[in-house]
Amino acid sequence: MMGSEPELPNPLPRPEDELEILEKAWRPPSGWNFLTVVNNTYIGVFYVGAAFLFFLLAGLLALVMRTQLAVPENTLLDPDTYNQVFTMHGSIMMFLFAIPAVEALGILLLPNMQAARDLPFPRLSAFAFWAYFIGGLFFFASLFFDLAPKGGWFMYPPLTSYEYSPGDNADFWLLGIGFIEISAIAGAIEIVVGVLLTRAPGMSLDKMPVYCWTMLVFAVMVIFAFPAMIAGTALLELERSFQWPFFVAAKGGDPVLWQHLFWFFGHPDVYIIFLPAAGMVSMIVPAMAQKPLVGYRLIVLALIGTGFLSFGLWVHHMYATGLPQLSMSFFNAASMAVSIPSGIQVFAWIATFAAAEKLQLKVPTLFILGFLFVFILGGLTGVMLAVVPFDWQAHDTYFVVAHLHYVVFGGMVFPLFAAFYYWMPYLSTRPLSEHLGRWVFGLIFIGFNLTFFPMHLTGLLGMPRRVYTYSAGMGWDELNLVSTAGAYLIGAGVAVFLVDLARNFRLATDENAGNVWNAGTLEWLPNGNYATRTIPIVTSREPIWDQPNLAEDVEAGRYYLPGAPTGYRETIITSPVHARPLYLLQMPGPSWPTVLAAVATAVFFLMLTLKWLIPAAVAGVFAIIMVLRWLWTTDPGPTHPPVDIGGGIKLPVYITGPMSHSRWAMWVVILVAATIFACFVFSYFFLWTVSSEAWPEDPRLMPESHYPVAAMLLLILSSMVVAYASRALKGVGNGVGHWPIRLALLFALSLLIGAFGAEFYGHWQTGLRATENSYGAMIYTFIANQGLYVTTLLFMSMYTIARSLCGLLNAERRATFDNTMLLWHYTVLQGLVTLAVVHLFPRMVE
Amino acid sequence: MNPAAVSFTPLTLRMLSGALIWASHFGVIYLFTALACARGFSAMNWHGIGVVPWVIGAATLAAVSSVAVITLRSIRYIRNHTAPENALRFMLWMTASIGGLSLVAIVWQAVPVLLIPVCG
Repeated sequence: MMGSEPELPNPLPRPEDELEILEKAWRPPSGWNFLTVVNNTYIGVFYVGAAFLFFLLAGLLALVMRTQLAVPENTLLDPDTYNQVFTMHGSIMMFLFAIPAVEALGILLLPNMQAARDLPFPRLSAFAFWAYFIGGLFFFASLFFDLAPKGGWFMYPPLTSYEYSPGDNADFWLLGIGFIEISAIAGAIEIVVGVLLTRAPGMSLDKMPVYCWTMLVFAVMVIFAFPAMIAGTALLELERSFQWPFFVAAKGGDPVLWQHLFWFFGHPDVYIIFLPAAGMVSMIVPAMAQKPLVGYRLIVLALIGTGFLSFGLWVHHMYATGLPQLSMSFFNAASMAVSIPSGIQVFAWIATFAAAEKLQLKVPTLFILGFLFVFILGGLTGVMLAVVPFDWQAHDTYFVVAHLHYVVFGGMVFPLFAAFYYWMPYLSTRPLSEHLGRWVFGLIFIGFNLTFFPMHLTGLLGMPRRVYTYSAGMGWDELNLVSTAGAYLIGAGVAVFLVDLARNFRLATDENAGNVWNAGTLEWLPNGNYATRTIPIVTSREPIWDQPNLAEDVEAGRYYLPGAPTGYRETIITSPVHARPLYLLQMPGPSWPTVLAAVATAVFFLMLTLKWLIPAAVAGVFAIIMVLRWLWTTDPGPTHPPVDIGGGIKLPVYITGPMSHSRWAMWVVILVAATIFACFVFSYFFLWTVSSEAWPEDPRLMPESHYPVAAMLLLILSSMVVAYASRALKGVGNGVGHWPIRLALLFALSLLIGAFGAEFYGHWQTGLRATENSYGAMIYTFIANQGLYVTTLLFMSMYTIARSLCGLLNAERRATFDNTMLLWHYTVLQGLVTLAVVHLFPRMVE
Repeated sequence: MNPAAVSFTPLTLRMLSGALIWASHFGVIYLFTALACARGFSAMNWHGIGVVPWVIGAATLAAVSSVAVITLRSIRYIRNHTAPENALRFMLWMTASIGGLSLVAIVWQAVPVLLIPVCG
């Protein structure tokens, strides 16, 4: 002890050049090179800004729609344009605004809230942002070329299949969705690994801020929900481009399959949007009440419970499709059950407000109160719609439009504005205006209720959604006029917000406005580009409230990692349950290949959508080269001896094995891959259930059994060879050379390709074609899916061999090999399950 | 290797076991009901009770008893270990309470089989 002060990890005074080296390592690039910035603060701000831009663009489309519907028989828009406008409004709001916005805030806030220097894969965040931003702009621009999709934001086939939606319009929707799939999965990898492994020492799971919990649940939900969307969009694109009949009833397909896949993503997606917003609320309410959140453990329970139960609700969007009554009742019950955890959160926020001695009734508080009012109403109409007979009456009417806006706008946009006002002092040299903010809230709150409350009535009076106009005298005229007036009020509120932003937002990664709310969590510690000067030891959920002098000690350099001991960007990796320091992660810095890879990816998708195949191929190859170039430096190896971070703790600078952050990321990728595969398996069995006449009646029409047996043996052997290479790699440097490993990888690759070839040829020689019927389409989907992984492993094994040839692979520095091996074993397992489904199942039910 | 690090996966799986069992129960009863209706064997019965109610009853009994055991064991562990370390205590509390929520959800989603015709 030093007098009455607690003993902290690092003593004062600190070496003179320590801070300078830290600042230099984290300095953002200047000039044109600024585009290569990867720091989470900058990328987070870019990301939030881009998402907000799409909110504005989709909002403008909403105003166009409301103008069209203001009076009956309006001719402002023709039906075709109206279809494009409402489809783009819904698609952009859901896919290019809501999901990216919550993910962007996570990228922006999580590291600082956990006192990490950055998320573990900063270049991945940058790649996800640039691909999303450029691709999103292309998607929006399709509106000006009469190329925008027009099948509704859920794009139900058969309307959106090749027969009824010829041209490229629907493909542009698939382009837009492709970008959100890329950025969401990249974000999920970042967030899962970031939340679990980069928390400040001492921030065990029971002390983790609720926002971190929400983002963890969010990311896990993305991992299991987005694959259904990826599978669905892949099937729809295959049907549109190559006439593989998954959804064409005449060829054994079923449009309801799309609805299952879409809503298995779509319903959890509502919670994917809502939970992070709820997490923001759970951070803002305690700060405004100056009291710890009431019921922390119950809220975490609610988050996890919601995350699970929300996957049991997808059919409640499909009550009118003719499913068995009992099946629908399961989803009705799950819809009721999910209201329990949602209710827990609402009561906890109200209780925290009630516990306040003196509530800070500022703009963030107003938006939270508005959120509570609107979201509760949306929840109540949600319970109404979960009841099957009521849903049958209200289905596809404006009642549903009202409900979904009360839930999504109420549950996400109000908290987002609260978050803008609350966290702005952490990003800007001055906070947003309290005076203008009250106008923003008032206009949006009144405008919102004026717009959407009447829609409950227009819906109950029978007005269907998605109609471009209506006849006068049906009782809808005044209600629609009121809704339109309300929409313009919302627009006015957003315009005042833009004025406020222009007047007061001045981005600052240091010298920000500071902790103006007297909040208790770590993002309010003094900041720089490197986040906090030192990484504190956390002893409670509100460390700033409970640990006196924390901000001063952190800034003075008295906690962990006061400098940049390796001279590069670093953060501490801690254990997932107890947050005990494990190793020091050296992170990559700014990089042109990352940005160029993102641009090339966007161009690739655009060219592919327009069926310009040669430019698409050029862009695709360029993107792959850039990705490989970017990855080349990300496995630096043990180039530095263990470093002292303070408090007598010496951390290794490089590790491999189960606790390596890259291994965790690869597991996330595999979970995504396995879920996509599970969706294909579901599709196979679903189509067999509804149209088994497409399946071969006689197993003799299937490939003879020696083809699958050969494929199975080759798959198993290839895994065994890779396992041998892994063991051999351990001995490199101790008498074992590199060539056995390189040759083993090449041999294993040839076995894998052989297995793929046997399976493909087996089906091809029977005369089965993908365009024939749904059975053929599913079989070749499995084969194409396996082919995708074989191709990926071709690149990964060549990359691994190239690293070996360059001396960048050895017994210690083996992350590249380990990740390749992990995906290899997964691919083999996936291949074996495919063989069982495709060859065993039809013979079993013969 | 830090023992705290390697225990993450089993600890987390245990914590989520109630919800995982709920998901499995949900999947089994939904898929079985859909198959029974689509493939036309829902009319089969044993002792006057249809095949679907039998399967839902059996799946519900199995799910409820598994969740109950996990929940009770967690509660007992918390009671018997007066000062388990905070993070562990938190995870055990979560195990028990996720189990409780899952029990409600499992029973709730099984009840309709007593009230609603299977295929309808």
